[in-house]
Amino acid sequence: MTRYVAQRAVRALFVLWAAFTVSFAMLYLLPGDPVSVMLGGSAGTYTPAQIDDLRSQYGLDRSVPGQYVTQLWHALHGDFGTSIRTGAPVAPMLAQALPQTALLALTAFVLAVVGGLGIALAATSSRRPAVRQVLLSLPGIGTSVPTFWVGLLLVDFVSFRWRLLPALGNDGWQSLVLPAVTLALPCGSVLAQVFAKSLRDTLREPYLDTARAKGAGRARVHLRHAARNAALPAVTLSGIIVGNLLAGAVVVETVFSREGVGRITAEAVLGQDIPVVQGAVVLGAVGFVLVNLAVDAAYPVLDPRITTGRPVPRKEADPRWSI
Amino acid sequence: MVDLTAPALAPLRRFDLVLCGLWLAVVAGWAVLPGVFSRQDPLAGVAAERLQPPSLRHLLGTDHLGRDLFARVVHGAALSLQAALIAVGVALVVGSAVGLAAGSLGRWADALIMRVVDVMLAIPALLTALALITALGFGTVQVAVAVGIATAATFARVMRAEVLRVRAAPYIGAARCAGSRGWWIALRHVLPNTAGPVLVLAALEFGAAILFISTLSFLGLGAAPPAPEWGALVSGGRNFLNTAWWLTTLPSLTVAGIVLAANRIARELEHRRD
Repeated sequence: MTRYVAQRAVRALFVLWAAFTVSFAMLYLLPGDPVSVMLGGSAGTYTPAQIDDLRSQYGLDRSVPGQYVTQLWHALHGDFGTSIRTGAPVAPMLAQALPQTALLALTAFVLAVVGGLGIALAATSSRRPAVRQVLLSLPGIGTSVPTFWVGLLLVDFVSFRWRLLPALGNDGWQSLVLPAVTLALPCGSVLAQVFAKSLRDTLREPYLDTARAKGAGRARVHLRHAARNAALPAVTLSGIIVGNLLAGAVVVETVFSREGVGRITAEAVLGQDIPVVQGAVVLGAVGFVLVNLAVDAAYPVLDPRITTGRPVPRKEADPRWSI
Repeated sequence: MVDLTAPALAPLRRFDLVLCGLWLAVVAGWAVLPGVFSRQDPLAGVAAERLQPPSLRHLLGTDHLGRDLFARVVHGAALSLQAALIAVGVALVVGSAVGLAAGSLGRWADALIMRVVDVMLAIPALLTALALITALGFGTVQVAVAVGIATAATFARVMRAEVLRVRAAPYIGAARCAGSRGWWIALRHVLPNTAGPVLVLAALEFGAAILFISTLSFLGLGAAPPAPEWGALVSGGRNFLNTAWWLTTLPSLTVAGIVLAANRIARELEHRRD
C-alpha cells in the first residue's frame, strides 16, 4: 500500500513538472517573439531601447535553457512572474480568484455526479424500452449543445423572464445556481454515458444472475451489486472531469460575468498576457493531479485487487472529451 | 412502447442516418455555394429591418444592424467548417505521426513519447488551446491549428495501439526477413493498415471540433468581428438576449444540430468497424 501511494505521488510530481514544461514550450518557444506578442499591435510605437528593456525585464534576453531553468526555479517557489497588462504578481492574483472558481467547480461536480449517475441508473433499471431510449439519448444531446448557449438560455428564462435568480455576479448561493448547472451539463452527460455503458456490461456478468437467482430485487441488484463495480470507469473519468470543469469555467464565468480563475484566463488570452496564461495552465494541471491522487486512493476501496497485486480486468474510461 | 433497437425497426434507424447525411450535405453546400442558399448580403444590413423576429422574408430574423441572420449563418459555414477540417486534419497528421513514431521506435523512445502524450491528455484541451492561441495570435486558422494540436494526443494513443497490433502480424515479420528497413516497414506496411480506427476517431472528433471552435470563437478569439463565424454570431447576440432571442438561440441550434448529426454518423462508422 505504501509503495502504491509513493508511486502515485511520484507520478503526480512528474505530471506537474511536465505540464509546466509543456506550457513553457507552447508559450515561449513557438515561432514569434514573446515581446511583440505581449505588446500586441502597438509594438511599432515603442523604441528599440524600450523593447530591449522589456526583454531583459522578463528575462527573454537570456538563452532558452537559461530562461527555462530560471522560470522553473521561480515556479518551484510559487512565483509565476507578473502580469504584463496589470503588473500584478500572477500567483496571488490566481490564488485570490481560486475560491470562487473552486466553489463553482465543486457545486457543478456534485450536480454532474448526482445527475449523471442518476440518469444512467434510471435508464438501465427502467423496464420500459421507450423510457430507456429517451434517457440514454439525453447525454448525447447534452454533449452536443454549446455550453455558452445553455448559459445564455438559462439567463434569458430564469433571470430575465421569470426573475427567479440573478443573471450575473458572485453574490451568495443564488448567483451560483445557474453557472453551476451550466457547467455541470456537459460533465454530467459524459459521466452518464460512461456509467450507463459500464452498468449495462456489468449487469450481464454471471454473478448478477446469482444475485437474481437468490431473489434480489431490481433495486438491490442495481444499487447493491452492480453499481459499485460499474463505478470504476466513471471514477477514472473524474480526474479528467475536474480538469475540464476548470477549463469550462473559462466559458461559464465569461457568460455569467463571474469573478474567478476562468474569467482571468479568458481576459489574459484576449490580452495575450503570457505569464497569466501559463499560471492558469499549471493551475489546471494541479487540479487534475490532486483529483487523480484522490481517485487513486479511492480505487482500492472500490476494488481491493488493485493493491494486492492480483490481476485486474482493465476498465478504462474513454479519455475523449468535448466541451 | 417503441423499442428502437428492435430488428423490425432497422429501416427507421437507417432513415435517421440518411436524414443526418442530408443535413450535413446541406451544410456543406452552405460552405461551398452560400449564394445559392441565401441571396441576402451577410455583411450589409437594412437599417429599417433591424431586430426583426424570424419570418418568411428573414428565415432566422435580423440582427441589430438589420442583417439577415440566415444569410450570416449560411455564409459562416465556410469559415466554421474550414476551421473544423483544419483542426481535425492537424490532429490526425500530428497525432498519427507521433503515434507511429512511438509504436515503431519502441523501447525508451516509445516510453518518452507516450509520457509526453499522457501529459497533453492531463492538461484540459481547452487550456492547451488557449495557451497556443496566446502564442499564435487570433484568427480562424490559428484557432483551428490550436484545437488540432490540443486534441492530437488522443490520435497518438489510438495510432500507437494500432501500430503495436499491426506489428505483431506475420507479414511484418516477412517484410523484415525480406530485408526492408524499419522506416519503410512503418510507412509502407504498418501505416496503411492502421487507417480504419484512426479515421473513425477523426470522424468522431469532427463534431467535437466544431463545438470546440465555436466556443473559442464565442470567447472572441476567432475571425475579426464582421466575419460571420458561428460562435461569434452567438456572442454578438448576447447584448440582445432579452429582446431578440433568435440571435443567440438559432445559430446555437444550428451548431448543436451539426454536432449531433456528425456524431450520429461517426458512431455508426465506429459500430460497423466493431
